[in-house]
Amino acid sequence: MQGWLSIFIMLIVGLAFGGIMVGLGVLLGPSKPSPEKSAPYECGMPAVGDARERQSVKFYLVAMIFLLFDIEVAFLYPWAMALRDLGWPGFVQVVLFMGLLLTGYIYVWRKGALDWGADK
Amino acid sequence: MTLFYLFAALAVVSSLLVIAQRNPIYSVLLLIASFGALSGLYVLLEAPFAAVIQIIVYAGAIMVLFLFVVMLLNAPQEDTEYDVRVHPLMRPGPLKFGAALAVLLAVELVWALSSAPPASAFGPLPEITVTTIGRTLFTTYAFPFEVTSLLILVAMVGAVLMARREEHSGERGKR
Amino acid sequence: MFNSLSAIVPMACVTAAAIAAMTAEAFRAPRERMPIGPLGIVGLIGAAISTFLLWNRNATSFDMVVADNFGLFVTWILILVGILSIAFSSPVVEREGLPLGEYYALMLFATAGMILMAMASDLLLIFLALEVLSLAVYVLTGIRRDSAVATEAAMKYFLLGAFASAFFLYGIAFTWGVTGSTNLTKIGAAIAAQSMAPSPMLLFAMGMLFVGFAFKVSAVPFHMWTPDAYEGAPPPVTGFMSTGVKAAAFAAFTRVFLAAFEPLRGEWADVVWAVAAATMIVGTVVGVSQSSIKRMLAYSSIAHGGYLLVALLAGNDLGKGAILFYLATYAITNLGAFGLIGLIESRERANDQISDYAGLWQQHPWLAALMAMFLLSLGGFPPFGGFIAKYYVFIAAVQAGYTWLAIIGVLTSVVSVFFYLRVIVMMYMTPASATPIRVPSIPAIAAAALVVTAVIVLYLGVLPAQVMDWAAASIGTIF
Repeated sequence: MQGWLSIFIMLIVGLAFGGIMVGLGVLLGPSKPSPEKSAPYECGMPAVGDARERQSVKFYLVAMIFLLFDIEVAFLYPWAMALRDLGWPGFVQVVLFMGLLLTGYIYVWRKGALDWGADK
Repeated sequence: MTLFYLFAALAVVSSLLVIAQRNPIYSVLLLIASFGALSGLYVLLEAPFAAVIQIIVYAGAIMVLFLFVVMLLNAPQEDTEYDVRVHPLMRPGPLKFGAALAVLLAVELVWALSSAPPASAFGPLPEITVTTIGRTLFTTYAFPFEVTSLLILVAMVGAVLMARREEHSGERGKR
Repeated sequence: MFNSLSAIVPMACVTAAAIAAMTAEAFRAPRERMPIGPLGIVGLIGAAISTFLLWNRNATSFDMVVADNFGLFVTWILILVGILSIAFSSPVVEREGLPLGEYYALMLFATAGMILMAMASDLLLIFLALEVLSLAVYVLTGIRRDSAVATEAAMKYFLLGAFASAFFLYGIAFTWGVTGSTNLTKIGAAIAAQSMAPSPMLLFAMGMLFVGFAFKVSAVPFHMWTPDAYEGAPPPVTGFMSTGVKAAAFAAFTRVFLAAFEPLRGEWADVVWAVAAATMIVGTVVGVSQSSIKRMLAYSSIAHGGYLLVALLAGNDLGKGAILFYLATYAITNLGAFGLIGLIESRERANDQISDYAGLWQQHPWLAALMAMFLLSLGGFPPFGGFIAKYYVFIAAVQAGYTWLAIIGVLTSVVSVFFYLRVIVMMYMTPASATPIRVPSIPAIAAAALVVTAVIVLYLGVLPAQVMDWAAASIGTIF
């Protein structure tokens, strides 16, 4: 359990820091709302329309691909922890694994799934 | 034990809030909190790898996916067939089904808690750290590990194929 | 650790072809034609050669992949299924404008998964192989993205399949919990070492695994997805999944239940009995009332799964050989039938109603003759492979004391003849409708595949002894 204490402390500090900053802002800052100040953008274009509109399916595709590479990362973690025990055989395995996924990455790239240009 | 109750309460409360929200985006964000609490429970169960994966994969990637799906499916409100002021869970269909499931779960819980816990049907388990997982994964289970990359490749091809926009396909005929 | 890699060579060949197909697709200009299908066939032939070299060697890799003769026999079936599916696919891919590279890449990935599943001797690996092949097949089912039927089929198949995978994984977890291993040999030893009364945990684990397999082989009551998925997928894909997935799943099913869970036979035999009977009856009875030929063949394939379960249950030496022989016969015949349906489909008309086949004989006598042959073989008529296969299954069942099951099997076979004959009557005796089917010129590769399937079906029916000997010999290596 000892190793987790530092993470726990970090969590607490993170939460406390965020909380204190927001709290101080509310407590100490003057609050005089006016219609202009309450608008989403105080300067520039007035916001038009509903924010809740359908997004492009590209977002989904990117999220999907992110998920897949995230799983790859998840495998690297135990490998990194056992790196010294595993030695070169472990290294070869990870390189093979990454190599296979690299072909997938090339495929995704070439297919334009990561392309964020204007709609063709 | 205090920590257990802390995380358990956090998980239960945030899960309840997930289904109590009207705005699905809030639900997704609360689900992240719930996953975080679950991750804490995994730590208490001495399953550090599961805890880390819970954060990296679930709270990280899968929640992003959920969020995008919610954004993708953001249907306009006017086509609902029920009164929009009624919370989705309180509508007749989901209510009955949900109630049935809830009763089932309650019965199960009472039954499980009342019957004495079996004297470890699975025998004692060795302590499992991330290092031991790494050692096992890259020696005994080296081959399944490589096969996993195939699985990810197939998923990648499938995702690109299914979610690709029609304009990019180029060779699809008009039908 | 890397003592022997030979057992994974067949699977690696197919995987390499799949990755090559994927990479080729990545670098293919839109509309550029590339011989990706032939590339896949080359990979499969490489796998076939390596399988041939591995025969009788009992190679093992990583303690998880065993290239015993049982696995190799199934691998041969799967390679044949792969080659024929690719051959049947080429006209369909062209006609429907399906994404060329991905289509073949997914088919090859699925084949690699199937081969792995047939050879895996570890539950974890079986699960991974199952997922590789399932994911690829889900996507292939819905590959016609502009078709609502295909999308619905893929969705149903995916959701139910994901559920079944969860069951399977749950079963693995419990098996590991009870026996302390995922290795089939060790599981078998652990179970045999336990006392006579199995723990409820173990029964639960076994039940979960059974559900997972039953879903993949579409046994009743886990068959609901089958007609929709088979109808929505492009016909060559349907042929591929109705044969390849079934063969691979049955191979793993046999390995898990006849090798690892053999000591618990008393516990699972009754369940398999009931499921086999229900599968045969439902598949046949519901099949009679179908008007779409694809749905009819879907129910027919459900019923065939039932016959395979009978062979699995019989479990004597004859029954074990019969499983492999039946798998081979069924796979080739069904593949031929769906390949033919794929050729008959056209862009304008689905042509998948039985009534569309009216008068096919006058338009295309050869296609009608081949279709009749495949259907008769599926129905179990004497000169074709299907007859011998059913014969062995029922004899094995009677020998093992499952007389009632054999009787149900024979009766359902007789009933099933009705719906196979209906199509034949339609083709030969009903006058053609106003707009008969006109099949454009059949590409040479598809025609060759049809001829090959027909020859194999006839060969298995007339001279079954050699293949049956191989089947019996190969199953002898593991159990």
